[in-house]
Amino acid sequence: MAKCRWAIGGTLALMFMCSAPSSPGADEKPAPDVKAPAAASGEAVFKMQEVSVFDQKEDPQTANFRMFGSAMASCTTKPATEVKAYPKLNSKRALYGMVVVNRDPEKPGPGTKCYFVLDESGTSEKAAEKPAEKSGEKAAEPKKSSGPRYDRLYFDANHDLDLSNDPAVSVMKDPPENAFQFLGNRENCQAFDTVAVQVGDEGAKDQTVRVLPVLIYNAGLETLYRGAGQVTFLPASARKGEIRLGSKAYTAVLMQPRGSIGRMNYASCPLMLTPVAGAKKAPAYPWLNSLGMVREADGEFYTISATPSGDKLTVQCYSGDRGVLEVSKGKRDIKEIGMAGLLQSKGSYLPLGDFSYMPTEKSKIAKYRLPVGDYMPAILNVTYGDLQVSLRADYTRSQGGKPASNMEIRNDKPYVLDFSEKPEVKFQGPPQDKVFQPGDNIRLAAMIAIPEKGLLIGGLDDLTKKVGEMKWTAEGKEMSAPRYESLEPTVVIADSAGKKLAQGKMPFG
Amino acid sequence: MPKDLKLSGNEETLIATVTYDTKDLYGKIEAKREIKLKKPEEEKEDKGEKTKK
Repeated sequence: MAKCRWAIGGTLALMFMCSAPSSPGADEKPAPDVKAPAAASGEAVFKMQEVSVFDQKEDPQTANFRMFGSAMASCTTKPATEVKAYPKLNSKRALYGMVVVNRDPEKPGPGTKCYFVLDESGTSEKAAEKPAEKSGEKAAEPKKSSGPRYDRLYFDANHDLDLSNDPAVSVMKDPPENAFQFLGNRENCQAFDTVAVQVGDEGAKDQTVRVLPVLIYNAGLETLYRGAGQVTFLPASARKGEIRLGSKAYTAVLMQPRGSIGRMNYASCPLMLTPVAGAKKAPAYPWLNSLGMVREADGEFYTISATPSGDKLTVQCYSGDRGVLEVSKGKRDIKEIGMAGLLQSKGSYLPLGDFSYMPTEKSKIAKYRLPVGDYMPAILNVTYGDLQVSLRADYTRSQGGKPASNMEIRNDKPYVLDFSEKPEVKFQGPPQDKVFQPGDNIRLAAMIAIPEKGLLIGGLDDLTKKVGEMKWTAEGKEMSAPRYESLEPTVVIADSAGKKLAQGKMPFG
Repeated sequence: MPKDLKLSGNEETLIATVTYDTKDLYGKIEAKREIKLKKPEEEKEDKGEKTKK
């Protein structure tokens, strides 16, 4: 969407945001020691080992993904009425709380409630009086000498609402420093030992993921007791193993869901595949590293699913019908056409071509044979002669109850994108019924829609005019790509007599 | 919106015209949007134009 703000003085102030892209798709090559899959069109199950996310220091992608996951719980001095039984507590000022796990980021729901209580053993005050060097331990607790010392955690890991059958969790003696990377002041954080939370269906006790509880002393221990405390639960475990897609072998790292903790079988759970053959790493762009993404290898499409704990990955080769998606010149006299992008279908993503987040490279593939189904373009970058057109689903249609876009890929009829449909400019602002006063900020926002296709043009660049370089850092490397002139629309604002009051350019958004 | 913008009357409708040059894709596309303005109440009062309640 193009946005334009008419600022004081009658000039047009333009806003432009640019996100750093990831590198293009991996250059995957067959692993020399990998045999052809037992069943190219069948299903294969791979075991995944539990690993600590804090040990994956060599992998910046894992570190980046870690920051997205966590769940916070505020503490209170009152026990939860839902809890059937608490353990016998030593402290008279225990702190109670509840955290929600197993929340699918893409399907809002109640999740699973896990209650906990923080207790004081009464023994840590003496230990705290000793210098850390003499005790041979790192200072795992905040340097506070007064107020409560919560050194025991009871966590309802099996969520049976009975905390009396859960073991006391102690303060972690040597917490991983990178656990505190995104938690603010390290001195205010106290980590407990990791807890194995049951995430499987009832009775599946072996389906667990590990979380790291960190008590955060926001404003000192005294204030904490009055209810200002908070426990942040970080994902502590991931799963790692080797899997195959067709003849290619990959090291797979599966993580707990973004923005949450718990089950690893949600479509949005990060799943990074790194070719064993030593080719490039997978790009860091999040959508390209999700469990629910459809992957392509050796010309075949594969879907991957996981158990709740992630201890097994199942790779399924698509064997159904395929249909054609193509971009066409239509009646235009243009030479180069092609497209690359990311399609969405029922919670999963399908990358097209050598997709990069930024539409900087010319796409040369004009026709794809895809699994039949209904798709929506999350991003579709089309090279159309001297133009680069960035398309996406028209989300404004879904606000009116219609599907945002529906690219119907069928086996008997190609879906053709030839830009022959009539475009339409859609204004998103200012509201038509609103009356402004001089001095008000007015947000003028417009975009080109292709109503018949349910598409929006989110960007339009002239590939004959290079205007600079984009630079960014990805996986520790300096990257760059050409930046082409954006065919931004002009805006003229005139009064009722037709007198021009302001004019300027509006960026594509 | 400039604060010192003079309106022709208590209310005025401005027109914002947006023009895209999409070249080979669709050529030029133009669209217009009305922006309705009114004077602040205190300015109406200063000029004795405020409506009696």
